[in-house]
Amino acid sequence: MTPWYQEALTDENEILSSRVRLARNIKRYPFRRKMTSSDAAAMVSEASEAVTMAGNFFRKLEIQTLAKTEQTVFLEKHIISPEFLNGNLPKGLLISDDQNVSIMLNEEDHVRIQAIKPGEGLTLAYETAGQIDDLIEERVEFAFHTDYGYLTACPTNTGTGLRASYMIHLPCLTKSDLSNNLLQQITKFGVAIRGIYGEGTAPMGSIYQISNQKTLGKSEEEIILSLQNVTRNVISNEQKARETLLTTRKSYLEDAIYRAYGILSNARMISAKEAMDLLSDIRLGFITKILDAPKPAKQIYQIMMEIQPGHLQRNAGEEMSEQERDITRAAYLREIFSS
Amino acid sequence: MCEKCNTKPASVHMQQFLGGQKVELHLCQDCAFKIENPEMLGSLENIFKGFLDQLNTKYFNNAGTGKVQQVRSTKVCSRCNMTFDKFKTGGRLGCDVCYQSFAKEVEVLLKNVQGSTRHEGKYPRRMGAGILSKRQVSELRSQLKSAIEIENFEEAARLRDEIRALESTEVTQ
Ligand SMILES: [Zn+2]
Ligand SMILES: [Zn+2]
Repeated sequence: MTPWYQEALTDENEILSSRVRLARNIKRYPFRRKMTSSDAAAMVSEASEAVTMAGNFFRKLEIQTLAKTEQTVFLEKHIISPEFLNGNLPKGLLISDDQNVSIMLNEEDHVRIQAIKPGEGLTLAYETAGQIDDLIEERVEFAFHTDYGYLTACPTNTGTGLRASYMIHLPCLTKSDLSNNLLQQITKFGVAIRGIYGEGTAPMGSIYQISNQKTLGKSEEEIILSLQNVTRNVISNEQKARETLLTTRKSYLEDAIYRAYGILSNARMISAKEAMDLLSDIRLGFITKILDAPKPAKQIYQIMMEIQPGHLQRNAGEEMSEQERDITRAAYLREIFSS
Repeated sequence: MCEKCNTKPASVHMQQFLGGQKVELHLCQDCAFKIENPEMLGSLENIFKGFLDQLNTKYFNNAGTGKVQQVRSTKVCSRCNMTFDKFKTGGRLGCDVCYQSFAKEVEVLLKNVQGSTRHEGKYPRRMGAGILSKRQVSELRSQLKSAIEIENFEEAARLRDEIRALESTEVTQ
């Protein structure tokens, strides 16, 4: 199995990937805020044992002893969360060989199961995460309340503990300045929308994460269906915006796409933000068939990840200053686009 | 045309669970909005702030004066020693028992943040069928409460019998 971001089926789709996260806590330990270091160590070993006893699907990583760039690579791939790296309590990361499934032990909750699928695969991702939940639950008792469901450290996750999300590419809504409007519109439907690297980060490459806000009062299937409904309507708005741009501002669109191509195949220094926005235009160029150029072997979304600071430094095998990264990033992109 | 109000054009297509069946609906923006989300939601932080304001007003209002006091709950969790004040500032509970130790506050919070206090999803297999009758009892209890509130005592008596019956089968199991 190849990791989801290398699977080639999604390069024309608005939905880049689907992700599901289940939050669980083990009944016999207090939540993280009230854990001692030895509680945490015992919890991590009990939970990892429950996972590995169920089968040989995961490899265990000592996240705290990993090199900083390795940690950053996991963050950039959304395999771990920034929260996971906070604090000094013992933690554990279990990860499947294809990296599509990961389990964070002692993030905000004791157990956070995450499954990622390429393109529209939300139902599949939920099935995978749900199976792992069942396997762990055979060996440990989770904190569960008859009325409130699975109990979590933050009441915003209580109930199903389910956060379902899509990573979507919305270049035309972004260009039409409709994205802010849309953002406000869809929060009314119980979903949250944020940039590719989460809350408080600048949106880059017209990529957005869209996810359910509520975790209680609806079944897992209803939560997923609801998110699918909202997302389908967001996508149809994106497609309408694209049609409008193509009929009323075609020259503008062509110019933006070919300028992006020109810069990416010639620049000598480029920041991640600028490169992401230009790669977004390139992706749009291929979708609209405006861009008449050889398609790179890698998906644009994969390239977007590989130009992030952590990926660049890991591939170079050394830590780099910001300026060195901008130079390396430009060289990497030239190699892809100037051939 | 919108299948619900039949007056505005249908621009939202959604699927809904109706009686366990997936049904396709074509609705206008307004009707879709009402179905999907009865109350407006902002960012999580805003909801949290909203909750604390409401908690201040609801439980700690100086009766008569209309003056809202700061929440000064002295409650402490019996398992983990988390105080309610600490939870208020940190936003994270200390253990599963906190949900009982701060039961009243958590109930209000969940209503605000989640719009519900009833889990409708998956439950641990190890809880078996017992959880289903427990859920039924808790549903019947809330029906019983509203029956008493509207003084429908005939209905209340029927519900009470049903609850007793369910609880006695649970004991014998
Ligand atoms: Zn309508
Ligand atoms: Zn507690």
